[in-house]
Amino acid sequence: MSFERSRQLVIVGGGPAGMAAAISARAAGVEEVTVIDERPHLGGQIYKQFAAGWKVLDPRRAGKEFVRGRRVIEEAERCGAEVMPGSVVWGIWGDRVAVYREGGDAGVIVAGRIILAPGAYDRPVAFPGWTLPGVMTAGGAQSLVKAQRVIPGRRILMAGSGPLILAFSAQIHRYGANVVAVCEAAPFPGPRRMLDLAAAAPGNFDLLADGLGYMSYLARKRVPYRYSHMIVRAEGKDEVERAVIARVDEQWRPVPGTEQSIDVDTICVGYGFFPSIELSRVIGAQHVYDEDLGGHVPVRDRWMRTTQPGVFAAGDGTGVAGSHVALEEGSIAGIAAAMELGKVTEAEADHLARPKRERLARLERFRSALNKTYPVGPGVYELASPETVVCRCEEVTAAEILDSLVADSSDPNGVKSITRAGMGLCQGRNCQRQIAALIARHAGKKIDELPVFTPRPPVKPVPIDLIAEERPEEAWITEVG
Amino acid sequence: MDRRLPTHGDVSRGETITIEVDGEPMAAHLGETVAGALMAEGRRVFRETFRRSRPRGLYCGMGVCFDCLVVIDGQPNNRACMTYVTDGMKVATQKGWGE
Amino acid sequence: MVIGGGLLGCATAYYLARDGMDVLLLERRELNREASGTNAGSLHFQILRQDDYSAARFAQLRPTVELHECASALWKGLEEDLQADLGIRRLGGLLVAENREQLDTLRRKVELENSMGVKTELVGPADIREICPGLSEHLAGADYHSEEGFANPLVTVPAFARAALKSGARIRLHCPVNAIDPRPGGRFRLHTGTGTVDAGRVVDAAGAWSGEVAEMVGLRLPLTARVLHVNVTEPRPPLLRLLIQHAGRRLTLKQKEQGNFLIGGGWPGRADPETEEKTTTHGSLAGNTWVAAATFPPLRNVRVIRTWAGQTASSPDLMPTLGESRTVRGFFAMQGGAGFTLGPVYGRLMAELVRTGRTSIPIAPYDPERFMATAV
Repeated sequence: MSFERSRQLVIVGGGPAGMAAAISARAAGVEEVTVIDERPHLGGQIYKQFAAGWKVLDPRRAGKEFVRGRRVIEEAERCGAEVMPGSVVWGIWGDRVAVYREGGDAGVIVAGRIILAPGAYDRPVAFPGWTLPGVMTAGGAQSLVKAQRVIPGRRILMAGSGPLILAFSAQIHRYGANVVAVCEAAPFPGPRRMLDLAAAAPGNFDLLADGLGYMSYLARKRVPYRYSHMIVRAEGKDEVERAVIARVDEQWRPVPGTEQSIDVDTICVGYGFFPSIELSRVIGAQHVYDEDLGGHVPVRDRWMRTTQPGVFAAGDGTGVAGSHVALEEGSIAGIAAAMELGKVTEAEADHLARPKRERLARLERFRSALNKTYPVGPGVYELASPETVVCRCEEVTAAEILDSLVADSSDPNGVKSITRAGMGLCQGRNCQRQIAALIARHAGKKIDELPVFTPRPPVKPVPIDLIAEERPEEAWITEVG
Repeated sequence: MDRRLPTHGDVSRGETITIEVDGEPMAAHLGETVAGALMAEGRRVFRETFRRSRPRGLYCGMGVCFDCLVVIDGQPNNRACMTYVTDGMKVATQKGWGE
Repeated sequence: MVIGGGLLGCATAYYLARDGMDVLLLERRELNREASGTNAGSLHFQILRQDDYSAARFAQLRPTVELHECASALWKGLEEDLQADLGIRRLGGLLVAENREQLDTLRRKVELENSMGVKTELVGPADIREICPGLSEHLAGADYHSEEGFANPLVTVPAFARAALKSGARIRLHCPVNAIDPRPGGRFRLHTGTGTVDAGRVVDAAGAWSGEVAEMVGLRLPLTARVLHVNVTEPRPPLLRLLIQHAGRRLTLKQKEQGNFLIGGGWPGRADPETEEKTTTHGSLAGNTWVAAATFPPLRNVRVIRTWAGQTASSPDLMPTLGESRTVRGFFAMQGGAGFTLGPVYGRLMAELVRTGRTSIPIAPYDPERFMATAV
């Protein structure tokens, strides 16, 4: 039998934004706060903790993020919020949050207010050979090394763009992974970009210092860092045996005649992240498209409200901006929820939120500078060849996708229906954008001019035994056709 | 083949246990995921796809892509990256949707 | 002129074009987006679950038996005709009873079906699990038809559309018809979202919107719209080969070749009256999957990965509509009634009617003016 409970505030996601929201909401007087996360512990991706049974003997050697993460996690655990780990929010109808626990129970929490903080996931980049074992996301590789101390392979190529691949490369190398080269798609930051970054530095010194530290580490270890280079192909029979890279122009398009083959058994791909917007879509919130934020993101006001009353959103799930921004946004959302629940006045809320808004503004300056240095090039969507599988789950190629368009349709939903692309277990997370990019290019439109796959619950696969319930039949309706 | 990194004294692994992979015993540590345990032994092919019989393994590592599917105790379609090992767990590489 | 890019419209366009007629199909949005593309693909050959198994009701249904027989033959040759894989699987269908009372109803249903030439048989509990392993041990029996099954609605309509285009038909998407004016000589002028176009004859194949279109020429086609919910699961190894329905509950259950289970049966969805956006409900998901798992227990640890809802419509007597208006000659209407199973037949018959004025199967019971009212 399923449960039905009610809570003043339900927070979906226990990463930095979700934890910060819980801490702030509790501090502002919200009595009933529940944080729901899929993983066994709080922390999200960036503060991923070691699993039970592992003992941290020297936290400082476990890395900066680990220590930072532990501080936030401990505060979240102490703040008086209820935590539901190992639990999946699979649908939201109005104020009803549907959740299940694998191997456990399922039910609905009727929420006074909801804060969505589901985070983001690595951008899936389709190129020939990307489905071979040995090709993995930079985030996946980093997590394997840091949280399980396992190397993904013997010779690793890191290919991507932005500060995170710099950080990941240095971090996993430090743990003992053999990173043979790093390919950064953006050009080497010239003096203009350097000045932008320096100008944005005040208040962001630790971010800058981290970056410089990683760069000098890789230089010291003689790990080649190639700017304006991208992965264009993975080769091998049943696993990766070689990577083919090429020089790219400012649009991230390969320059003919510059292909080079490198012997590696692992390719870590890190071209940014996509915000997890399945829940914000399912509730009917308005979204806008911003390539540098990761694509479609929910529209929000200064209190982190989405366009759906009662639902707030914070952190990378609203646009990828990193953990520091997530912490501040989460706090503001928590304060805003407390305000709407009548626990603090607007004046009090403004006062509580002020320092967070100030930090956000400083972080925003740095983020803009970074975006100018590492803008996403349209070439990231153009690496697939006609035979490249674009929908990994249903194994649908780029050619099949384009061939399925009938009578000058440019609707991804039609493609999905006919080819099954987007119908797999990942529910379109890994292919939807690439499909849109293929169709857009073919039809001479922009990605955000195309319809998206119609969003509906369940946003994650949900076991029938947990959600099936005998329901009364009203006047029955025969299935038509 | 052990791809487990030395821990430099900053963290200690969970207790050693034994799981079964395709009928053969394999050592693992509590606190590792099935994906971590398999990768640690250099076993990177987790399944063969349904339509084109192609090898797949770990891709996103965070439960989003559903590519790292393995059969666990007879049940197919389990994400190896989201399932923690337990002593005696029976893991099998998955063929298609788990014949 | 064919209005409507669903199964009925595309099939009609194909059969007309194949027989050499000049056809233009107008679709207000995209092909196969409404009922034709959102049903669960069942191919029904036994009578559907009714709430009335009286002789009178069956007498009313009798003419449709011929339609189903024709459909059965048509489906057998369709993949060859359209040169496409339509995902057809007809390995049998069971309409199950979970108790004595339902079984008695089925007994009566089988008698009536047999008397109309529908080849069904009543099977007991031991037999149903032999015909279909995995079914619940708590079932009392079932009505079995050996040729029921399913096909894939998502590829069937595009296949008809492609074949129509290949035969010389034209298709315009994003082209809603807003008004229809009579022209001299019994012709029609259609005012669409992208301009006007004249036609000698108009086929209204607009599904749930066919009433709206009929009104444009002053005809009344009463229709009740319904939004229906369907669930699809993750893929599993093959466990179920038949189409399963239930005598006392809303259920259709099938497993596709790709391994996914489709769970439907008529549970309600929701449609926003203004935007027409369809949403699915927690209640329908919970209730529909409960019936499915109670009937076929291996479903219990299978995961649902998607739900959708589609808008369908039916006329007051739940019968199909197919024919030419006597009041507005040259205007033809076709709609509903086991629309996926019978869609290809409707298309064929409508093409015959438009081309020759006659049909190979009597269609009087499906008269579009049988509700005897025209708009004032």
